[in-house]
Amino acid sequence: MADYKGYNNKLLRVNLSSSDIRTEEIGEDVLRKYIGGTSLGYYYMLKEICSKIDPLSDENRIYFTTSPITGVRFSGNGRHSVTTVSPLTGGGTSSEAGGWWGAALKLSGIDAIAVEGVSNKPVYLYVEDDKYELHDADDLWGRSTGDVQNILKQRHGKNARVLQTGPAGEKLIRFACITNELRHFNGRGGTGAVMGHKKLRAIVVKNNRKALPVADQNGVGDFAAYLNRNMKDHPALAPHRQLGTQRFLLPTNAGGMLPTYNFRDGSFDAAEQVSGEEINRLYGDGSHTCYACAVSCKRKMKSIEGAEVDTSIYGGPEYETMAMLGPVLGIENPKAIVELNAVCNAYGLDTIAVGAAIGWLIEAMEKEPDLPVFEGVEKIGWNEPDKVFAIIEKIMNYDGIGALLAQGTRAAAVKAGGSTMDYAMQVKGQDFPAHEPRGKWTVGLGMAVNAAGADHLVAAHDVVIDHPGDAGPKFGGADLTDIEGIGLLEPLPAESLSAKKVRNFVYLQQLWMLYDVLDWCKFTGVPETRSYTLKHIVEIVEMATGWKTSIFDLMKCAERTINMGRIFNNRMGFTSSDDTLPERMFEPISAGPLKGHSIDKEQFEKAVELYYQMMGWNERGEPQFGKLVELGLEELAG
Amino acid sequence: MKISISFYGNLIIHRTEANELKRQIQIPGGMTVSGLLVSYGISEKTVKAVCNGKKVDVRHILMEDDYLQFYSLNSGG
Ligand code: SF4
Repeated sequence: MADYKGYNNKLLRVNLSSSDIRTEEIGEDVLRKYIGGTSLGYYYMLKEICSKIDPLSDENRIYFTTSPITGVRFSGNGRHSVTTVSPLTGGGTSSEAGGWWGAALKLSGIDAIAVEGVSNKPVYLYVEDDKYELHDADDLWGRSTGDVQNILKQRHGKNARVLQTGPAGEKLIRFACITNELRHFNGRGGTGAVMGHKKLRAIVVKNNRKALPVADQNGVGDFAAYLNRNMKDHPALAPHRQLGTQRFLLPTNAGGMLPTYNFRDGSFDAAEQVSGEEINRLYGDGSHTCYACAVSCKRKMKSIEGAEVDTSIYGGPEYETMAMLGPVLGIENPKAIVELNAVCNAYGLDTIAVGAAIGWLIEAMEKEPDLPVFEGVEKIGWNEPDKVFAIIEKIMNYDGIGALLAQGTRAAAVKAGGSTMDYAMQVKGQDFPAHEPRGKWTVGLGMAVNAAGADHLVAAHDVVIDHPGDAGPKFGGADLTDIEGIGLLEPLPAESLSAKKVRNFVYLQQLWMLYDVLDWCKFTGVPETRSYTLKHIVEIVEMATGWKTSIFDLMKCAERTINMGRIFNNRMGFTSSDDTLPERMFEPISAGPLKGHSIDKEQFEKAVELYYQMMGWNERGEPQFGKLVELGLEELAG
Repeated sequence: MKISISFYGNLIIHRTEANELKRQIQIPGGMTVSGLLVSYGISEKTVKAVCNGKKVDVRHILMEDDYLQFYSLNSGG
C-alpha cells in the first residue's frame, strides 16, 4: 500500500463452512472512496450479496468494520460497525457500538472482518496480532453473556476484548444483539441472530500493539490533548459525565415527548420515580468509559440484592432502555427497570425491541382481547413488571405468546391481525426507539426513509436546531452554531415538514452518517455538544491518513453510504411503500404537554417525495443513474 | 416569594447536586421566567420552560408556589 496511514489495509475473511481463514488487502482505492465504518460494510454487502436472501440462511454474511481514526488515541473512537442483512427487516442494517473492541481490532492489525458460511458446531474466533483461530465453543453455548465473558477473559487474559452474541442470538430471536465487554451494544436489527445462526458465539481480540501509525503523530497528540481539556469542563459534557443519557428522561417528559403506554401518551406521571436521577441515586455506582474517552458517560450500577441477574456487571440502562422498559410499559418501579436491563443484557436481547414488542402486546390485549392469537394467553396490563420478566422468558423459549413476539413486533402484528398494525411501533420491521416524532417531525421522516428502519440516530433532532445558535457558555447545548459550516443558518420549527426542513434533514442525515462512516461517537461532536467543530473532523481525518480532504469530500462519502443502503434494500425487494410510519403517528398524542399533536399526513407524504427528489431518487425511491454516476456507485449498483 | 424549580438535560449544571430533582428558591414578586433565566446566565432562546405542567413563554410572570421546569432537548440516547 502506498502512503496511507491510519489503516492496516487488511480484511480478515472467515469462512465458517470450510473453517478457512485468510487475510486480504482491502485496497487503497476502496479505503479512499469508502473510508470505513458503515460505508465499508455496505461496500462489501453490495459486492458480495447480489440477490435477495433469507437473513438466517447460509448466504447471509456479516461484516465488522472500523475507520481510519478507530483506535487512534482520542475521545469517542473505540467504535465499530456491524453490517449484515437484518433478520428483523430483511434489508440491510448497520449498527454501531462503542466500547473497546473496535479499537482492539484495529490495533491488532485488522481493519475489518468478513464472516461467511455457517459452522457445523459452536465456535468462537480468536484474533491476536497475526494469529487467527477458530476455537470450539461447546462450553460457551447456552451460557449468559456474563459467563461467557468471564470464561474467555480467564482463558485469554483480562485485556482480551470480547464481542459476543448471547443466548438470544443462539436461539435466533430476531432482535438479538451483539455486545462487547458486556456494556456496549450493536443493539439494533438483530445482528446477534446472524452470529447465532452462523454458530459464531464470540470474537475475541487481543492486541499487543499500543498505537497505530498515523500521518501526523504530533498533530493527533495535540488534538487529543485539546479534546481532553475541552471535554473536562465542557458545559454540555459535564452533565453527560454525571448522568449519561439517563439525564434525557425528565426533559423529554417535560417536553411531552416521552413515549408512554406504547406511544399513546407523551408524558408519564411517574417520570421522576423512573428518572436517571432517581435510578442513579438508588443504584448508581459511578461511571465508566469507552476506549480513550475523556467523557466517561456509561453508567455503572450496584448489585441489587435478590436480583436474578447481577446488575453490577452489565452497566446501567441508557435512556432508550429506561423509557422502553419503563414508561412504554407503564412501569413505575426503578428497580424493575434496572433488573430488566440486566436480564436483557445477560440474554443479549435488544432492550428497545423488547419494550416495543411487549408494549404492543399490552395494548393489543387491552384493545382487541378476542383476537385468536390471544386465546388462552394470560392477560398482561400496564405496570406489571413481574409479567414482563415472565414474557421475556417465554420469548427466550419460544413458549406460547413468546414465540409470536420472538419474530419481532411487525411479524407479531401481521399474525395477530385486527387493527394491531396501526399501533405496532415499527418501520420496515425495526421497532421505534424512545423518541416521539409527533413533537419533532423530521425524526419521523428519518425513521421512515432510513434503510434499517426506525432509528433515532439518523439526523440531529428538530428540537436541537429549532433555536438560534447563541446558546452561550452557561448552556453549552446543542444548536445551530457549529453546523453553519454546512449551510444551515435558519432555526426552523420542530413540528413542520416544510421544504426547508426537508433540506435541513438531507444535510443533517449526511453529517450524522459521517459519524458512522468514521465510527466516531456522536456525543462528542457537533452539533450535539460542540466540543469540537466540523473543521476538526476534516483535520483529524487528514492527520490520521495523510489525505487531502474536506467536509465536502467527507459528506459525499456519507451521501454515498446512504445511497448504498438504499440500493441494497432495493435489491432485497424494498420499495417506496416501505418508507412510511405507523398510523399512530398521524393521530393525536393522548396526554401530556403535546396532547393533540400529530404529524400532518399530507405534509409527511409530500416530504418523502421531496426528499427523494433532493436525493436524486425516482418516485419508487431508487437512486437514478445520474446520481449513481455522481457518487461513483454505478458499478456496485449493477 | 417562594417557587420551586427543576433543571433538566444539559441544564443540570445549574443544580446544586447531580441528582437534585427540585429545589425551592426565593424570588422577587413580579419576576418573569426571562428574568429568572438572566439570573442564572442562561440564554432564553435555547431553553424551554414549563410552569405547573404547561409550556410557557419567557414573558410569563411567576406567582407564589409556582413550579417551574427548565429543559433542553438532545437527540442522542
Ligand atoms: S461519550 Fe460516552 S458513549 Fe461516547 S465514546 Fe465517550 S464514554 Fe463512550
